[in-house]
Amino acid sequence: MNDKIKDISTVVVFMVIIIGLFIVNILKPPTKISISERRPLAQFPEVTWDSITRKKAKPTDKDTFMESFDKYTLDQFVGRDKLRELKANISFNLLMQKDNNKIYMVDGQVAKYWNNLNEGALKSAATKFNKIYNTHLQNMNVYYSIIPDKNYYIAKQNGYPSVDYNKFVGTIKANTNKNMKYIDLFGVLNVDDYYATDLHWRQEKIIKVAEKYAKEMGFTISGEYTENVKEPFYGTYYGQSALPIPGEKLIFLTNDVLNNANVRQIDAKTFEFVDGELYKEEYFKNVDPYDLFLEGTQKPLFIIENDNATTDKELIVYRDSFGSSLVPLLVEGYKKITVVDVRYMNTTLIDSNNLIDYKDGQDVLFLYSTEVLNNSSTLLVM
Amino acid sequence: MVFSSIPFLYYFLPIVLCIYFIVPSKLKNIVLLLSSLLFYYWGEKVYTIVMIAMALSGYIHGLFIDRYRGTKKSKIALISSIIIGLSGLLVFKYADFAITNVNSLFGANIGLLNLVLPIGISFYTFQILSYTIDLYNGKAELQKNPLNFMTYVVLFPQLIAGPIVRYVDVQRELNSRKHSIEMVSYGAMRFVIGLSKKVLIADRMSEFCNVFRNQSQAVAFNSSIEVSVLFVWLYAIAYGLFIFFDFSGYSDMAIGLGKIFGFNFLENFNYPYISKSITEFWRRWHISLGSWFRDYIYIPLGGNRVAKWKWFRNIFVVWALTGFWHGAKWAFIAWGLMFGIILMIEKLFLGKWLEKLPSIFSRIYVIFFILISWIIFDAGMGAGITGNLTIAFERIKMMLGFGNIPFITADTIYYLRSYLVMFIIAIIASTPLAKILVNRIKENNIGRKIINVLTPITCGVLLILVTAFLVDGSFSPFIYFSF
Repeated sequence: MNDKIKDISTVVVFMVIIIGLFIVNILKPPTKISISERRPLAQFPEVTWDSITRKKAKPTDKDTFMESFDKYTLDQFVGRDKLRELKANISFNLLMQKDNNKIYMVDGQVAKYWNNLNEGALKSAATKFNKIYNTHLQNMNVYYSIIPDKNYYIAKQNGYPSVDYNKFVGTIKANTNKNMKYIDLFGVLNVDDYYATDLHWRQEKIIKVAEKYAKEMGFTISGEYTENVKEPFYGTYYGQSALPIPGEKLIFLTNDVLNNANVRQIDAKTFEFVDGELYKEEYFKNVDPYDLFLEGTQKPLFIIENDNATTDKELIVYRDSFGSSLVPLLVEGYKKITVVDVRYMNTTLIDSNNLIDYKDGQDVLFLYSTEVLNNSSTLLVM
Repeated sequence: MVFSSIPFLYYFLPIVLCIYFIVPSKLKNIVLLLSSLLFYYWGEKVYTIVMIAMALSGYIHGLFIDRYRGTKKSKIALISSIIIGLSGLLVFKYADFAITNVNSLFGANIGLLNLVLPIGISFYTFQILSYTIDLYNGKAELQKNPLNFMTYVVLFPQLIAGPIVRYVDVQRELNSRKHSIEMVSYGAMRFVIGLSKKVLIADRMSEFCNVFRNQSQAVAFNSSIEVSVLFVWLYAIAYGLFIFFDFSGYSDMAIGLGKIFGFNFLENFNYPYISKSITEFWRRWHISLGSWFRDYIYIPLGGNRVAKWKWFRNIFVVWALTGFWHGAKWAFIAWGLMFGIILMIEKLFLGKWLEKLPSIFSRIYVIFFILISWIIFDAGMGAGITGNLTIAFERIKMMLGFGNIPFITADTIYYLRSYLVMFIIAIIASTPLAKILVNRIKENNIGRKIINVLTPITCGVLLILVTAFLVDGSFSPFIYFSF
């Protein structure tokens, strides 16, 4: 190849790529949702005089046309998923990076490492538990647990950055009211109890967790369930890893007690109770299929009543999304369970609307994952 | 708009290229002017008017300088152009620095202007001044066509982060220029190489620096994260590589785009990290800025053809200004003065010693002081009029083993292993090794043919890789925008 042909070839390659992809991007109909990333994609922004002339004064202001267009072109780029896969493959295989955007893989498990233990946030979480305890729970049987993230089982062991989990648990325990009993889950679980592509635990693997609570809190469960399978399940880390990982099975457990339980939830606008479901099967098609459990996120309060319970025991669970799949497994042991997520309704609203029926002798469980505790400002305890 | 973004690469650039090469020659400057204004408006909105006003000021002053050539009025026009040009910089860039210093020195309570710095103002101001000064000195020709002059000032390839293109270097091309397949081919390849330097290397190094900053910030908040002596060194190296690939990548893109549109911009970098003295480093780093200060400040002050104390005064002034040009922070002034002092010492005696030393030692000397300087430079990005100078000194202390931190930690080993290949690639790419290798191969006929086959393939592969990295993450703006 002589210099002239080289020059022509280089110009052709350059122009074909930038002009070709420009035309293809223009012609490609916009995609609404990214299945792999589980999020809605940016659409072509509205063109208004304000949006093209306004300057964004602060980060919280509405995006200008230019900023929205930047996001739109990134989200809607043709072959986006394949390009992200290419980048992930280069990072892992060519550049030999140990992670791609903090996502790493060990023995088929995908995880996102973190190592910024926030001691202040942990103390704050404990203070918030204490506040609820002092206000409402002094004559009750109060327990608390920390749900380990899967990094506890694989990060440090495989050379990835990790927090000091002893310090993590120690900080929470040291700052939590001593009348609240700690129930350890770190020794109960193992990495296989989590979805390979998600941060959450698998419901079919945590019957042992429910049994541990039954033993520590004094109730009984049969532990016998029918497995119901949904697939393919792609967890949060599937999209973030951008690697071609096979889908998994999502299994949810039912039995006669669960099928006959009466489930109500609060409407966050009217503060009226409306019907709810332990498993909302159609939500498996949501951007986050884990929404199937207790109708997904942003659901501040459920009441689950079990008329077939052998006792009159009642339980209040303060929880995050991990609780959505665990709580059904506790239903057999209680006549009534109140499930509260104070990330989506603050305690002032809950109290002023008398949404929780506090009674002496009730059981109470604070059940939070390490991630939520380390970012405890999300817990709206006023 | 930034070069390393999808809107620029796959919307703006293809449209501009198509229109530019379709329209007749007499309309090409108008296409460049309008597209450059859109390019700037995309990110700066109201400040587009400031830039146009500054360009018009330069143009009108040029008319006066030329019309009254040889009279006092010409000199007055020149001084006026300098005052107006610098006043833009003073108001937008330096006013709050001055006010804050006055307030803290005299206990005054003068309100701050709180103006956002217009992107690229330091670059286009210097370009306009190069025109009026060179015109007055008879080195440049008058540009009568306001559209052509405006095109020079706002030309998008070099508008917001340089290189500082002097009017004399492009005056002929502004009026009439040739386009050829060779120039477009060279420009496209140079642009893609610059883009790759920015996206594939600089942004990865920036990632590493962010990991370090998060680590050291977390330490301050009593987190469990650990930093180590080795980590601080790696951060300094990563930052040095980041800033080189970020800025030289931008210069490559500017030079490449210039070539595509028929302009020949001068080189801005020449493998600075292989230098054997700081003096040599500054002949290889940000060449357009160094030569601007040399020609418009240092030499008019007398350069080195004066008494020794005046010579050192000139060096001091130039390097204080060089630091100050980078930002209105004491950290930048300290950074500039650090170089000023080293350069004085090199001129006094050290330069001769360095020449006698084996090159390995002189290169280690250069790299050591450059890394120290980048830590101070990075501090300039911090808030307040001092920047993060205290943090910078803390980091330098840690680097030198006085920080009461371990030499190495598990986290350091992890990040070193994770970024090792990237570090090796970046270090090799910062030397002329690849260039020398390609030139060697091209010396024989078969080798030349192989390189000719590989060139378009490399261009395409790099462009796709860059696109993959851009699509995967949000873009990070070029660091030199803030100057």
